Amino acid sequence: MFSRVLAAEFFKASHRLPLLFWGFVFVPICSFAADIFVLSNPIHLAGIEPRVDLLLLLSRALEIGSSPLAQVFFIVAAAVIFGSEYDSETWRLMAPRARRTDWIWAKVLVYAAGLLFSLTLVALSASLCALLESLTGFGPITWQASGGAPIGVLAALFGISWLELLLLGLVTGVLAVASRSVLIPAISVILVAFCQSILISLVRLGSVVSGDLSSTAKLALLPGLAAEVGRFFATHAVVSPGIYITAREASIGLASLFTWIASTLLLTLVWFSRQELSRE
Amino acid sequence: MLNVIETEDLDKRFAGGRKSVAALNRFSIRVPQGGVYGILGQNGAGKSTLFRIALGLVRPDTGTVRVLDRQPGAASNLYEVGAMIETPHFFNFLTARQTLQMLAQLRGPRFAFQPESLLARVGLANAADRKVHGFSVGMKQRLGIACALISRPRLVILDEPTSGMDPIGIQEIRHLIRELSAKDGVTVVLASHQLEEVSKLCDRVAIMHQGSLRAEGQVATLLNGRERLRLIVQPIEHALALLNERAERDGDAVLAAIDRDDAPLLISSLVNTGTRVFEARWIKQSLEDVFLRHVFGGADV
Repeated sequence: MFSRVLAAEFFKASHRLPLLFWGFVFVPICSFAADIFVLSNPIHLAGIEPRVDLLLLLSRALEIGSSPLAQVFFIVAAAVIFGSEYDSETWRLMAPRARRTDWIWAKVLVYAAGLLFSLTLVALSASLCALLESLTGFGPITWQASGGAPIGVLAALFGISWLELLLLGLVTGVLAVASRSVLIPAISVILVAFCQSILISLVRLGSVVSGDLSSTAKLALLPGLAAEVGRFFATHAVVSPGIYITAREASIGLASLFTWIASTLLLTLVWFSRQELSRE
Repeated sequence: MLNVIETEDLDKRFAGGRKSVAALNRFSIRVPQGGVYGILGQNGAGKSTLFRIALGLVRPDTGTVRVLDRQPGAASNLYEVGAMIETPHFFNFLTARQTLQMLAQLRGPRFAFQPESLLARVGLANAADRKVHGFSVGMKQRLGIACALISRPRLVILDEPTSGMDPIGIQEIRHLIRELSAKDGVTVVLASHQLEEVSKLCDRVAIMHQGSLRAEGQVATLLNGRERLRLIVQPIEHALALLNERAERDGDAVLAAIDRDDAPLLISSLVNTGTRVFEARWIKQSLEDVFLRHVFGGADV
């Protein structure tokens, strides 16, 4: 049964071109355009040997999950995926009468696959840009990581962005189910994402002075900060001079992200399974 | 005989502002297998709520409901029950064919699905590859019926199936419903405001009012038992006094609720008391009369 629900959900998504473009392709296009802009306006620093750092380019590109502007498009995609059945009054056509929660799982998988596709495009566009930079005389492509094996670092950054955006989608999903709409969750979560981004910036500013970026309370309340801490740990970046994120802090951050994801998913499943579809 | 839908003391209330509104009120019904069963009721009588409960979209507050002898919402009912509830809505970005393909995909590969034949059956063969976005209300009704028939169900629930259709479309859908019942052996349960449609299509009907059942039975039985003798007499008061509670005034006439066998005796009694009888004829009531009597006249089940 679940495989059929999943196939139907993918069928719908694949025929919804505006969703595919604005939700999952537009951000990689913008990322590529930004890379091209940087490529065409090079800044040469004296004393630094010209080279193309592929890992640095990919790392920066994969941080897109934390950009509130990029998040807007993923939030809208999630709102359409989770809320369109209410707006178009189509739940009654389908199968909420039999194993309703299959539909929520299917929608989560469609959104998660969309994110995977989008982040892969972002990584590919950054790689293409690195190749272009190298070909246009910026020097050879290098591949060095300070935090660990390059592939491991990239996989970690990819995974963290994917989890961060998945969580935003799930928060949007639970609000879509609760409000039975597309617009309300989209607007609410966009506002939340911007507020969270401002709070994270303030916390980061404070941490430069105090060296404390990752208290458990902050990580639990700000999943975006939890993702940030994960990135700091993966890339072995400094929080403030001489202070790095420890494995314990990174683990707490990851646990916070997973807890948020599990809670929002569970809430969506329970809410939808008990929801009266007397109107959509 | 199996009952395709069986409810017992169903209660359902919806929150509506400060007070909750009763959609169903100790509602019990048994819809037998086979034929076309009509459910009549005003807007808000509880028809759509009953259907939504039967499909598992809404849970009753109390009472029991069985659909094809299973719990509503059972996975196998997905194949065996087709439904179109209220005005159908679709995915505007899909064509009619794609809509059917997607819904067929949901029901699994257990039957050979031919969208062309199904679309032709509901009169949408020429619009198969048009986006649903541009469909008229009548076309959406037709597509809704096609969606209900995808899995060759044993039970089809149709809520206002001809709403928004032109007269030819109404004829075609009536023909399709009759065909479904007579040739395919499908039990069709339909709700409608159009009493003429119900009286032409249905074998049995139930009349709902404010969430409760007011009358139920075969259409022929409901209509047969309601003949009245229309008398034009002078003075009219004599007839009213003689018939007492069995008569009511209808303008210049008297409507007498009596058996056919009692008519000669009544007329001779009137003549013997000096009443002049100008006209006496039997009035066969329409389903509309029966409906109005049960809804507004307080007649019992």
